[in-house]
Amino acid sequence: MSQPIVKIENVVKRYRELVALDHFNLQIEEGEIFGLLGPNGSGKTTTINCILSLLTYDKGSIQVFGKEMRPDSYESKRQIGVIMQNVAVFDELTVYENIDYFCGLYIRDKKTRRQYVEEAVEFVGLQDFSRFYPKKLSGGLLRRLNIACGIAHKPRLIIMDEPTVAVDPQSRNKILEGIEDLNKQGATIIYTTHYMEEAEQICSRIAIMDKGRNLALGTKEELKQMIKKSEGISIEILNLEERHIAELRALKHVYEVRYANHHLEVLCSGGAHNLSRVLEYLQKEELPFGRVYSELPTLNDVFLEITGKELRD
Amino acid sequence: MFLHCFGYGIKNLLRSRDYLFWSLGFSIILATLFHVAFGDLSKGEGFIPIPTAVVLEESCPQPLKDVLDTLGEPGDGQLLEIQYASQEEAESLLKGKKVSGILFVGENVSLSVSGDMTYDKLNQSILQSLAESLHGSYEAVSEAAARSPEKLPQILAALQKDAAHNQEINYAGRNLDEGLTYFFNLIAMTCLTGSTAGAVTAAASQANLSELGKRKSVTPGKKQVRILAEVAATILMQFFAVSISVVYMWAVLGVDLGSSAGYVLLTVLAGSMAGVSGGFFAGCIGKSSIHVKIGVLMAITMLCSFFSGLMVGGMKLLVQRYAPWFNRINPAALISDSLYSLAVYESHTRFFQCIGGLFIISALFILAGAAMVRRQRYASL
Repeated sequence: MSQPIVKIENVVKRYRELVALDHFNLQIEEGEIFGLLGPNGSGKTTTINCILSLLTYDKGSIQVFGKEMRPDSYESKRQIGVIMQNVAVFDELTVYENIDYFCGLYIRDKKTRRQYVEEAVEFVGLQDFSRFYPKKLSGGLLRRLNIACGIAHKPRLIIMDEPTVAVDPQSRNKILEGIEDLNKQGATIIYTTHYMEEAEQICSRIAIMDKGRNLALGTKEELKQMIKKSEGISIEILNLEERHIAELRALKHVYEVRYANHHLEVLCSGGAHNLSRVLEYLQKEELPFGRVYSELPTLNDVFLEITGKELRD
Repeated sequence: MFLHCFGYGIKNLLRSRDYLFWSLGFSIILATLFHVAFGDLSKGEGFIPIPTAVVLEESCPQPLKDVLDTLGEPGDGQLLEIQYASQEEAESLLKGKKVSGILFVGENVSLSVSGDMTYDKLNQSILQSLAESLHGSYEAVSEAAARSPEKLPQILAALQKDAAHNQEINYAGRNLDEGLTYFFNLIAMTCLTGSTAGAVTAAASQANLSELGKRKSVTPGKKQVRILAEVAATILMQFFAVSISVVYMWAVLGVDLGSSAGYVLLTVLAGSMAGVSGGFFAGCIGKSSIHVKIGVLMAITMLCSFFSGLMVGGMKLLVQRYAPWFNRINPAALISDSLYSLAVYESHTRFFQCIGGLFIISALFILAGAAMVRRQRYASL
């Protein structure tokens, strides 16, 4: 088995009294799109900064490409591309010049650099804006420039720290597609986000973090199998008696029934045909109902069940 | 990597409107206003000998008296219009503003000037320099005499003949219009405004101070090389910006900055280095926002300029009287004094002392800043 591209062992990071990373462990394999999912303040960015050797940590070890990561690990750094949470570009340089500047910190050969910069401009779809200054770009285009600056040198490992914050849906889709393309081209990607939909859409494996701890790790299917809920059924219904609620709770695979504001919610664990069983019961009892929804569990459900709070709380 | 960062550093500053305004536009506007306020400087008067009362004490060595007589001899090189007097008479002359100062010449040479610092300050400044020079020369002779008393007559004779001795206190006879000192101080202030660019350079290089710094910190290559390239680019740009202002003052406004263009540019370079390196050092300290640091640096720049006499003409002399050490560490005073020395003295001793001071200050700032940014991992970001 090949060695992991990133290996974090037992890392503890404290900000005075606050424990930002609490005996944190993680292994990321080459070729993955690895998601670090957690609410704001859960320790995602601290993890990234420790991997990049920007932050000191109190305990543990971090290896990248099989070597301990240090501020002077120039060979390792040469193979890493970073897209920070906030846009980090020069206002006085054009789109092309910004990408060229950052690419030039990795690639010395001018000809190769020119080629890489042009490919990066094309990759993020900024061909029509290459002579624009950042101030003239919309938020979404600026985010794309931020990404181009981080990936132009064709890194083997790309670390993206919430690159879609405050981005319009169109640009967000473009960015997510781009990330999948980069992965197809061979780059390993570490992607932090608090948007569960994004993690579900692109990540091959996901670690769920909260309070500096790795709470769960696996593919999205594996994570969803870790929790009790397998299906949630919501039905608009006018009048429901306590008797009905008790009888619904007694149906096969149902473990929770809630009714409030003419809204019935039935949570099921495992099994199949749960929806049809619930609807059959309502028809049998001649209870009129309106719209019906059936939802499979989301990563938010996973987070809710593990931590007792919503992902975006 | 050095050239890559250096080139982009220049490009970045060339397009920064804020930077260009403060380093170029602002000084040109102020220079124009000064020109309007002080009139046509090209019509300056020739050098007028300074009316000076001299109180000779009994212990006054003959060579010193001879030197004074030489300085007071009528002719092109006349520096002083000497009136020998008793202490009471001299004080009366000074009180009546008939003389610019009183030189007490005995074993020591000392100067007494009017308590009113706004009165005749240029002449007072020249007299002070003269007194220091005479006193220094006398001390050197005394020390030599103490070591070899038998050779005292020869030493004194040598001093009397030593043309170099008088060169130090010989004035170039150039235009000494008082308004010129305001332009010197304006140039000094313009050099020091480079501190804001220095601070921005420092902030943009450190992961704990900016997002750009964070991005740069994760790139391969030595941090010091990158920072050195960016600081060098900032100094060069500041030098060019101030040089353009100086050329504007000289060519458009007709400000007489003397005939030593090379030395003036050397002053601008040393001043720009001091300004940028000071800002770089300040940018490396603490985690305050760059806007706060720029505000503080602008305030310090204006304060230094105030004490060197940008706003009140006699301020530098006042500082020289009560806190002379401050004039030796105030970069604005050193820059304006360098230009003043070029315009007034034939000798470049004082000029090089000032330039040396500026280079030392710059080196200290850069070394201290570089020591701080050597740190590559942070406890928090």
